[in-house]
Amino acid sequence: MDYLENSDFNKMKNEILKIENLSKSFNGLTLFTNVNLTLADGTINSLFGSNGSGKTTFFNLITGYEKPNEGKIFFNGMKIKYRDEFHIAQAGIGRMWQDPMIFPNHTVLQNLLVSSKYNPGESFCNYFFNRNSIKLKEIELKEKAISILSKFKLTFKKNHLAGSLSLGEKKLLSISMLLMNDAQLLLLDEPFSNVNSNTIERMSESLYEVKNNGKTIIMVEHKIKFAQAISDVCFNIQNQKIEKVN
Amino acid sequence: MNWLHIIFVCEIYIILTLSANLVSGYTGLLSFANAAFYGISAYLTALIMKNYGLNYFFVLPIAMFFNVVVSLLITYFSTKLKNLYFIIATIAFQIIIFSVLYNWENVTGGSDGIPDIPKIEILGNTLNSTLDYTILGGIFMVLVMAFFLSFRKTPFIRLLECIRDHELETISLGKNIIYYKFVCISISSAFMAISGSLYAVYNNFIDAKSFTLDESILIVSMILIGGTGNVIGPIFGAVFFVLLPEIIRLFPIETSQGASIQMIIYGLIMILVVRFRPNGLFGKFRFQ
Repeated sequence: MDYLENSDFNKMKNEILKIENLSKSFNGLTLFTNVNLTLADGTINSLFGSNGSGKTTFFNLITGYEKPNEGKIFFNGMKIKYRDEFHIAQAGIGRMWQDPMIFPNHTVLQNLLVSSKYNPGESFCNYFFNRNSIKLKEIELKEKAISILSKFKLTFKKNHLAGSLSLGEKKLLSISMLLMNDAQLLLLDEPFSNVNSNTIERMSESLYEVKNNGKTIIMVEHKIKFAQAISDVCFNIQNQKIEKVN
Repeated sequence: MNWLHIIFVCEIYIILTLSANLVSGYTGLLSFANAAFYGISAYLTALIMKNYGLNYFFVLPIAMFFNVVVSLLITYFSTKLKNLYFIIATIAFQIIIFSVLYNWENVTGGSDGIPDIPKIEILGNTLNSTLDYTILGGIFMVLVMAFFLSFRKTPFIRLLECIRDHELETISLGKNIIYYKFVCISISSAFMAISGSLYAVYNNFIDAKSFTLDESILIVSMILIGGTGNVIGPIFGAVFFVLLPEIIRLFPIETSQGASIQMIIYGLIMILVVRFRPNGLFGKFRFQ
């Protein structure tokens, strides 16, 4: 994996993400100074902070959309190198955006199929040399997609256009797409915002199941009570630092 | 009225619009460099056939490959650009290619063009008549249509549509969109080479004025009026725009007025389509 670099950082057991001395400033505005943070494997983590404190920027730094001024980020013991954003996604860091980005003109099932990390059908040359593997893989991916949709209770909407879903369903679909993408670390930007309590409950159950399947979640959230209820660890951004909250 | 000639022109434009639709309709990259690829392949075919006497069926793959190589350039410089910036980059590319074709007199003949391009030979028989070229053009057109029809529901096209609908999300799913844009521009330019090379051998003569920005605008108009993101839209657009002047010719209008009336009708149709069918007549995707 050339987008990650072997480092002298010895991965502690259970550590999936480690941030060392991270600093970031924009045009004279300092958001982070010497931030250190560790996320344990298979946990749900929440990140709180006031508007403009840098929560989304923090996600941008992890996913490569912003580069830190100083500091290092390690994912699974490997240092993240900042080249192209898609490399970081391929390494296993998935992100749900605040306004869930789905493909509105495709069905729910197609959204999941396109999210798979490897699909031989997406390679043009395979149509000439490897047609059978395309068909087999598509069948396999459909089965996987349906099993993920069933966890999120979205199976009955598999043939609906994704653009026709409610906001809550779009968020669930977006998380399903990260699972289909085999993301190990899920960054969720305000999953509970603008959705009703039923959807929050449904989403919380699903996030628990995701965690039980060995994935790690870190979510930025304003609905602190709901987030705290399902989180193993909570963090707060204050005074350019990210500190653990009891 | 030579209907065989009109059918041949329809075939050429159907291949061009279907190819352009892969880039503009499926991937959402509105390119105005179509005539550049069309022209490059026409010139390459003319030069190789005339200077080296190679058979058309050897020259065609060379022209397709050369278009792919040139498409690398446009991909390298423009695929990180979005929307208007991409359009401007393709217009610039189109203008550069036209200038090269028009001014590189030693090679392209400059404003005089290249005359006496040899005709196609198949097993010792020379294709001379319009009917021959209409049949050959028809075969190529059917092959290109079959290609796009068989590909339209594949994961490859699905991914291109996702790049069109939400580029950022596609990147955040770990897809290398620059690679996919290159692949689709390459395939498109390779197919355009079929039209370019056929045009050169059919006409016996080419000059740079056939490959101007106006030609690119015409191809884009065809796919916008017909509709993008499917196969039927570009075919309809191509046939409609080729037949329109012929239909106008059926009315008793003076030749000098005919061209102006044609432009007025084009303009009216564009306004009506944009107003009432912004996706085009058969389109799935609406340009923002």
